[in-house]
Amino acid sequence: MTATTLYSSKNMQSGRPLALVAEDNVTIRENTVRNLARHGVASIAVGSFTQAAGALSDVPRLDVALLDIHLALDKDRDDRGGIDIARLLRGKGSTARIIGYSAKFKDRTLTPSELKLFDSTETKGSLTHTDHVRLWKLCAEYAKESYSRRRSEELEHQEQLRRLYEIEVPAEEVLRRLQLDHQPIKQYMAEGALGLAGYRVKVVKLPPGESGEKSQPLLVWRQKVREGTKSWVNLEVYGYPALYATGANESAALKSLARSLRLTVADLAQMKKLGAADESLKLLLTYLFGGE
Amino acid sequence: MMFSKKAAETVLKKLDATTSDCDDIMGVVALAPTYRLRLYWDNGHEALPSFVEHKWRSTLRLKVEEFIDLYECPLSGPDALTLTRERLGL
Repeated sequence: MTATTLYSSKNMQSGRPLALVAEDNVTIRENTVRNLARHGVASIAVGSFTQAAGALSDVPRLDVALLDIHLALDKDRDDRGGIDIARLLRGKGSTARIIGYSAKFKDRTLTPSELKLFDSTETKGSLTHTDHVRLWKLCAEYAKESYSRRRSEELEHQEQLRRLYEIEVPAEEVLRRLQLDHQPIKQYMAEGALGLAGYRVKVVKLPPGESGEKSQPLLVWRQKVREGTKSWVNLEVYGYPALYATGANESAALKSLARSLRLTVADLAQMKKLGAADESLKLLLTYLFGGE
Repeated sequence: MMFSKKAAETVLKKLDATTSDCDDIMGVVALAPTYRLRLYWDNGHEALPSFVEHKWRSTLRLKVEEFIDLYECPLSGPDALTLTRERLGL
């Protein structure tokens, strides 16, 4: 696992796509940042190639770059700072989509290799407010698509790591770890990337059912995340990836998990013959709910 | 792309899943007499966390694009079920 992957695991918890905005006109730059924020996209705003190079050295993966090709602030360079930023991003192996625009350069003043750096360009020589609005919308669209893809890859990766972790640290070992101290602890942070992604291994007690039925304690993965403006708590039964629940907070997630587990018991009871996976589920649920 | 409550309902409907009457929290897709997929969710919010989307996608063995197609139209429910059965080796 590389440092970049670890960094991005942590970054995914902030729950917002990330854009690089390069524009030397302060008013347009601020408007762009504000408008992208309205679309739920966080921005790193720079006014020159030098500022962009500095910012990019300490930034996790970008989702999109919206670059003014003509950056007048780069006095010591030629006036195509946006192209240099695009080259820098491609050189770093960034897969972020790059949108270039300019009120100064027209398409024909850029070479084919310069145009190739961009996924989309708006270089017709003059830009109206409507053009900017369209660019912001396109930028937000690209950012969300990229973020969604990135998030999905990250979740896939975390799922694989949890399965590996469960093989290396079986439930009995987790319980032993939790009971090592004289005062038993109820949770601990998973090592490495899973810990950085916010995963804790925890013993929980499900809330009683509608008729007050109680259950045995249960070992779960718990992750607190923030997506957009919402906070979530994700729960997954340790060793049973098919049993999971979410909620706005831990007690809501637990309540949801308890309900879904009881619905699974009811569903299993309807099956005449069980497959191997369902047999294993039934064993766990019988232990959990006993004589319910 | 946000996985919304509406998208979840579309997926359940397309797959002809049976849902619990009292609490819409679990949809059951019967692939074979001894093979059922259970899709959990919570209907308390307009948007669902990416965790749920990921779980549904991995349960149904669908790629991101295929899963999006499932709730945005192009992929029909029967086609998705055929794909799922193939990928599960059923």
